[in-house]
Amino acid sequence: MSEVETNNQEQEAQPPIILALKNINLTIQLDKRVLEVLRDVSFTVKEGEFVSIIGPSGAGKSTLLRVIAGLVKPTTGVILYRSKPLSSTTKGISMIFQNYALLPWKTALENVEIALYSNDQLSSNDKKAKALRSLASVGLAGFENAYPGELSGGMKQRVAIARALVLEPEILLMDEPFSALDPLTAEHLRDEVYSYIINPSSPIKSVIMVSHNVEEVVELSDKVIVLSPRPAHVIGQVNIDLDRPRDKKSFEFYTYVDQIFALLT
Amino acid sequence: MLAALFLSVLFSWAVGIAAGVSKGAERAILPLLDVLQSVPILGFFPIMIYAIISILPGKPGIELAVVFLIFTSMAWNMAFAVYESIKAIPREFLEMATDLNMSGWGKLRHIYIPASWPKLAYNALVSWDVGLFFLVSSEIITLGNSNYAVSHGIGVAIATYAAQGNYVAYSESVVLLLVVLIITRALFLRPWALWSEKFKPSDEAMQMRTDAVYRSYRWVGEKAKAKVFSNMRLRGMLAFAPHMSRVEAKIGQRLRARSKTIGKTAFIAFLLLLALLLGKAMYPGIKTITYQHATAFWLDLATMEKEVLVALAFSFARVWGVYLLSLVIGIPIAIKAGLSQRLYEPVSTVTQIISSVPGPVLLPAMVAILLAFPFKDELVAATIIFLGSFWYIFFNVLGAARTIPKTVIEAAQLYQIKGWRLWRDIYIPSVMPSIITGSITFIGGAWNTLMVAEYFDVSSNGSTVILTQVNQGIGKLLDIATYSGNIQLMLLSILSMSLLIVVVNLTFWRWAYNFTTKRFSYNV
Repeated sequence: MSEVETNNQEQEAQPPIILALKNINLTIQLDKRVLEVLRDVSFTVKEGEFVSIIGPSGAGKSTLLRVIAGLVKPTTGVILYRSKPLSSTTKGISMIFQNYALLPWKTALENVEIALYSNDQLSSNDKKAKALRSLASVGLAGFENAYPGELSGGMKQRVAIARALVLEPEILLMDEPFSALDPLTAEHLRDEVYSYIINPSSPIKSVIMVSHNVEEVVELSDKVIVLSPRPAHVIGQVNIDLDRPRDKKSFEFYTYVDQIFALLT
Repeated sequence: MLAALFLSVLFSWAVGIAAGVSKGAERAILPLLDVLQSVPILGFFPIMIYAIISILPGKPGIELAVVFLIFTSMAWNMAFAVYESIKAIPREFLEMATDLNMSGWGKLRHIYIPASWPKLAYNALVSWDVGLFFLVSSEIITLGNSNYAVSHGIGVAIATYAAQGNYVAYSESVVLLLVVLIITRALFLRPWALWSEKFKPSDEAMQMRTDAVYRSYRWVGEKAKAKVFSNMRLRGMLAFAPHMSRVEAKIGQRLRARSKTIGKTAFIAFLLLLALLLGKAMYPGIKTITYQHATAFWLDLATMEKEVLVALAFSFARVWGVYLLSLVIGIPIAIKAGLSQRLYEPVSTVTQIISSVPGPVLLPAMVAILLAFPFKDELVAATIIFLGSFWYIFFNVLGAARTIPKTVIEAAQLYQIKGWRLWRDIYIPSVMPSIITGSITFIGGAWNTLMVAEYFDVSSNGSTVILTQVNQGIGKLLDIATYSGNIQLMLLSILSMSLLIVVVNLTFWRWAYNFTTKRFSYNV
């Protein structure tokens, strides 16, 4: 374990813990073989925190994210969301999928609206208005009626973000959100995403992001969870204490990058 | 049957690769394949037999006609498979081949043919079932002149036993057919399909490793190969050979230069042969047109056409009725089974076996069961159409449901989309392109089954037992025209039916296909 925490942070009043993973184990059955995916994974996420999960490919990062989303049930262990055990998907936790998971036969607006389908309290006009606001908040006003096939990769990702935001979740899960984009678009979107998501008017309190890009993780996160190869368990936790916006050329930035690389290899 | 399959493979390579490589050939071949595929082959069978026998009389002629019929039932579908595979070859592969100075022959051997294996083998599985259906049907369809009938074959045996009322022997034959079907599938077609998986450009779905039959083949094959060849040769087949021998390159060059002319000549020769056969068949009909009878002949033709059109309308309603029913039954089951890890294997295995039983052999049993129901004839006809065609929709949708992106399913789960909404907004649109592909083949197949579904009789020892007979229908008309040797009526029915099918295909289905693949495909 590698803890990088400054003393004055410990003295301040800590923000409340919003999510806690306690001893999560997951084994799955694949063609009569039993495969251990997650081994005794525990960590916490505080309110206002941007947490990244990093690890070698195939380690089970995405699976861990699906466990948190309630899409996959852990074999043993509990997840406490606001101190209550989580047993299925919940409105408070939303997710952005790696390849956007947009439906090609629906427009950008309709793709956002599907997140509200199961909400019976809203009228269809309200749903539409909400979806439009959400699209506008990610800079896609005017693209409501475009189909995903007509949008660039970066715009598709924004539709996916708008869809996750429209539910006004407290926790946003992101599965390699920038990996399918070209480096320039990814760079640009990284800066923007942080401002869309973490701001006083946003309902989102905390973010958990899965990534394999160390620079990206250091740029965005408050805390980095480093996973081992399969079966994944936590081999390190790095708290990143840098002012935002972060200077990617600074010495401190690269100290963190090196530290995480050291844990990974 | 195997001869026909072999012919089909060769044909589909020649045509499919030509269409995939050359723009000119593509323009000529694709529309032709499209029409050939949509024309009801069984309808042409009487004419084909007639034509072939008039050229080559006696037993060899009949056998040749049967092989030809089965070939026509399998080849188009497989040629399309090859064409699609060639089109889907990543550009880098071809660029690499050019970069390595690969000869035409080398490209063929190392790129085109390996790339076509997976789809070809998979389509051969489907074609095999279709071919079997035609084999049995063609055996059972006795022609006006009983000299034309094939005298041995499982179809003949089953029909004869049923006609004699010997239900024990009948059931035994059906079971025997079923066992043979399962064995050919397990020992031959499935291992082939699994083997060809390794030619897929991606590394997903390596199911072959876990299949026992496939593994044992591989083991035997490897033992044999180790003795005869060195291992290098096998690897050379798979890996792209870095350099070709000079001789090969030279031959390749010459082949490439000539292949265009050869291809064109072969194509024209094929068309000529078809025209010749048709001409030969129509000749007796045309002969009757003398000057004195010309008006009467055309009047006659007009009355016939009226009859044909009415029959067509009935058949059209029958085909589309069963089609809609198949959609309602097939889509939900196929999607459910395709999405479920647990259900997929058992459901697909069982349905594949059921689907490969040619419908006509079950007909006597069906007639016996449905005898008590009202509209018995319509029910029997509908069941035959259903059994012959339902699987096109079912397997297409089943395959598509397997490939719905996992994240889309998870998103639906996350947003708690359930019930009707889930089906309407997620599941059904996700498999839409496959519903259309399945529908096109369904309709094509259904028109074929009409030949059996609308009118069916079995003759044994001179006595004829009519098992089923609808009131009106193009299949019935065709059958009757064939039995009575009315060649004008036969030709008129076939041409009218083909025209209707081709027109609907080129307008409605073409549009539906283009629209759905554009709007509903995940790979954009």
